[in-house]
Amino acid sequence: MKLPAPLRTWMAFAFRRRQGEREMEEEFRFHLRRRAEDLQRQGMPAAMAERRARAEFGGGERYREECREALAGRWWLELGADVRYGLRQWRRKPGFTAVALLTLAVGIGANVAVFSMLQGILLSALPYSQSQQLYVVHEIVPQWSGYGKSFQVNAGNYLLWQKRCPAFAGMAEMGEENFVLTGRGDPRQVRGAVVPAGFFALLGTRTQLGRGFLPAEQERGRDQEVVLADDMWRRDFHADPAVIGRDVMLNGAPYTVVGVLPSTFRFPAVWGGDAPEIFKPVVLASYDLDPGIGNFRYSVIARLQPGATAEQALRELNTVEAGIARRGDPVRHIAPGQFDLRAELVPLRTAVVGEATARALAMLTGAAALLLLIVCANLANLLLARSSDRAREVAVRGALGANRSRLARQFVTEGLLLATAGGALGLALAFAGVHLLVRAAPLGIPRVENVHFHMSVVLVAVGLAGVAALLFSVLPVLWLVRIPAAATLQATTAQAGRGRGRLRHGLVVVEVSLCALLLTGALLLVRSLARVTAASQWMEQQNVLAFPVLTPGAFHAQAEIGRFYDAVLEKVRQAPGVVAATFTPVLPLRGGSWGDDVIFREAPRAPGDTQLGDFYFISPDFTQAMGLPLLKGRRLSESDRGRDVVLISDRVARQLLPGRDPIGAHLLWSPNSKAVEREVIGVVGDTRTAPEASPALAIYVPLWSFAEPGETLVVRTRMTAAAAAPAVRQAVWAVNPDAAIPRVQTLQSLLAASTAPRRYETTLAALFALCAAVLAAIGLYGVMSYAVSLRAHEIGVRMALGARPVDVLRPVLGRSLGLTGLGLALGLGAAKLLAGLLSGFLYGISPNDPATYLLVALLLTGMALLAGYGPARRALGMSPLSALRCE
Amino acid sequence: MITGSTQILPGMLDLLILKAVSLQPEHGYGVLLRIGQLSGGALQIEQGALYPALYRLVRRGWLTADWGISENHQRAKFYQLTTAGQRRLREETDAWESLAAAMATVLKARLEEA
Repeated sequence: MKLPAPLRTWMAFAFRRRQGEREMEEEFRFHLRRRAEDLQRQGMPAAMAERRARAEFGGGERYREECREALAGRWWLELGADVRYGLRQWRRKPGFTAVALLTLAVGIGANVAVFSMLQGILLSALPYSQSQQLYVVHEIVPQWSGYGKSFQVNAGNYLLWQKRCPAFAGMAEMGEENFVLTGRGDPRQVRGAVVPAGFFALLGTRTQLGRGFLPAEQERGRDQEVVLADDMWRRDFHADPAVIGRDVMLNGAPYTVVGVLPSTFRFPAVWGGDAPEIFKPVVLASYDLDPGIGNFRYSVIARLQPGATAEQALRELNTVEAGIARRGDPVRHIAPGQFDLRAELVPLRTAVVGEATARALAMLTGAAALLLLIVCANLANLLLARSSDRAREVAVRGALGANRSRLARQFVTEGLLLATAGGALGLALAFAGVHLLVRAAPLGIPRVENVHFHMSVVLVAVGLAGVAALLFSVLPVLWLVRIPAAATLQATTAQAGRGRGRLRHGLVVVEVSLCALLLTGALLLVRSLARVTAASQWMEQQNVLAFPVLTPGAFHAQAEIGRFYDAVLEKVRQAPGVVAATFTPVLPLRGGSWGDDVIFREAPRAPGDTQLGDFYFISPDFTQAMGLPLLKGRRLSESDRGRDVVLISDRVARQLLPGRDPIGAHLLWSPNSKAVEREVIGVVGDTRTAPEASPALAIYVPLWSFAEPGETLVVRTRMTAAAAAPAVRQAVWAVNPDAAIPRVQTLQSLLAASTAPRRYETTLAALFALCAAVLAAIGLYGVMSYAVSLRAHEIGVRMALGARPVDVLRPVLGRSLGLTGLGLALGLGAAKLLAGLLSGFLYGISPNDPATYLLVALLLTGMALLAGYGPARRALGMSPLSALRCE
Repeated sequence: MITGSTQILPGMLDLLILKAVSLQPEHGYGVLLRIGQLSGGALQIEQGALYPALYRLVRRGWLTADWGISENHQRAKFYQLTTAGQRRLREETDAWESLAAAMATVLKARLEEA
């Protein structure tokens, strides 16, 4: 094992020292023996010669010491002494040392852990060649901003950009597509992506086996080829190098494996979720080819030409976009110039990390930095207490002849010792913390696999510890060296400590105010989380199973998928304990519904006044299975098959059909450029697309006309969901043994996953706030106990003269409350100023929520009382005699 | 101790050691003997004080120290002049000589005037 270099140097020094010592003794002995021999030769008796030799040699111990100094250098010897002395000093005050160490460790640990996250997720470059040239393109329709700030890309528009935007070296359109893998054990759902030829080259990735896709393979009928990700190759093909050219059954059709990606490849997961395991050439359908406004279905990654700027590229894109908007979109009945169309370039890293994650990281970094400030204030506070304690020792040592630089070095050594130990502890904490952060990270936090305990992160810790060491050593030196020894020796402790009282009070006020700021933020987040959780539980989620069912074979015929779903539902409904069963392509709270204009014949609006709604495709049991209450009319039933009917949500009825009976109204909807009128037969309770969203304009269209592969089966059961699961799964396999059921989940766990990132961030923020509160309490307690100890004498006298305990308690508690009050006022004021920064994280609560501010004030006041009460009690408990004697 | 001998000044010891060792490698006791022999017993050093001086000179790189066998077959540490040590000896000797000459001139001038 190779030891770190400093340790080796130190060990060599220690070893050399022992060896040097031995050699020195041997040399001295030789000298004495030779001298004695010479003296004997001159006729002296042996015993006398030996004595004489020793006398002539002179003060042995003095020369030994001088030799040691010459051997090791004086500096090292004194350092050793300083270290020993320092360790003794720290050991003598275990409470103080423990608090200082823990404070340091928490400060360093929290900051290093958060910095690791920041570094791994946000700062480190993406693993693609020249990744700063890579951008994601979005399209923007300003008039539809209510529905989405930006959209994915219309393939027809994308084809135009490819022709007319020379600032790009290349572009790739890609989409998410899942497959059912059969013929290799149990049927399994495989996460996939469709990508164009040249996609891997665009990212700078080379296949480890075989090749990527060819342009000719982007045509229907010639696209039966796949490239495997490394993990799928290892799992399903046992890393067989002869896999190229082999067939794999996907969705019941054979696909040929043409390539395998290297294990280092990371898919740019711009749509979030787990990385795809398999890739297929993207084939654009004929209705995808026309440029237009709408049908924003593809994700597009583009690489700039070397030397081209993003501004230049965006100008080129927007020239094309303006042309498209001017022409309008006849397919979607959009008149020329009716809507604007723009493009947006987002750096790939920003897109992969996502706005929410970047914001959350910024918030956590801020919280960690605040915590660090509190840590610094606390350390400075501890130091001040300590330096006052030691002023007398320093004065005595100075009077006894220690020079100032020697004393200063003693303090530097002590500071370094503490900072080293605290830094090591902090690193250990950070190491565990990073591990825990990654492990506890919910799905959907991008790049979390890239968070490591990194060397650069260790450097940050060392830097922080260095700053702490500086603080610990330089400040006391500055204070102590200035103190005139005589004054200190004459002064009582009380007088010596008084000058620094104001500084310490200031530090406590700073601590309390920072703590109030953190607590306010954390409490707002916690209360938002509670509200979001409540909001996501508006429907009955108990005993509901929800899982996607994928069918291989007959994948493209809609009618056949519909028949398969019907057969499954019939079987599942016969399973014991099943109340209702339905298929749906999207779940409430999980986003991804179909967005389209909601307009009724009975409530016409001017063209261009779009009201985008969320369209859900459901089968008859949907509303029961989801637990949506029926408010008016009736639910969907089998007898509606073949009729153009629709259910609407309460909000649609109230907002778009105000003041009239919604039942019997006609929705005008033309999903396939064929206008159809659908009659409203019922109104159900509101739903949301995301926990944070307001109730959606939800439209429920019968599924039988729009069945898609891979929809989610939702089953409400009478027994617990887990007990019902096997029977439900068997029912699906009874219809088609090749159907893939990736994982049987409850609706509750699916929906809980939607609030998981928020719960994660909030937990972390709350943890920081808790640390801050503990540190502030320690700081306040320290100041109060010190203030009381300074006045022990006075208190003793007053008690002896008959003062009541309350008279003694009052000033102490009053001081504690006063400092806290000032800190609170500052902290809450700052919170009010900074509240705007937090508003993006909050839900259903104002950043100025008075109840939260009040709660923080109460919490900190309680803390102040406790911090003041302890020392005050101790002062009261002291016998007057011992109090008087303590000077 | 021989009485009537001259106590040496602090700076002189290093020069004496360098000179003693420059003739041939010596152990500590040998250095002492050599200085006594060269000065005809006029210069006396407290014997123990020799060693810190030797260690300092080794640390500065003017001497090297190696274990060897002494003339009466005992293990002893021998000191030897390095190249840097030789240069140092020359410089020190020059400096000493010019100092001594200057001192002598000054002192003589005083005597003649008086």
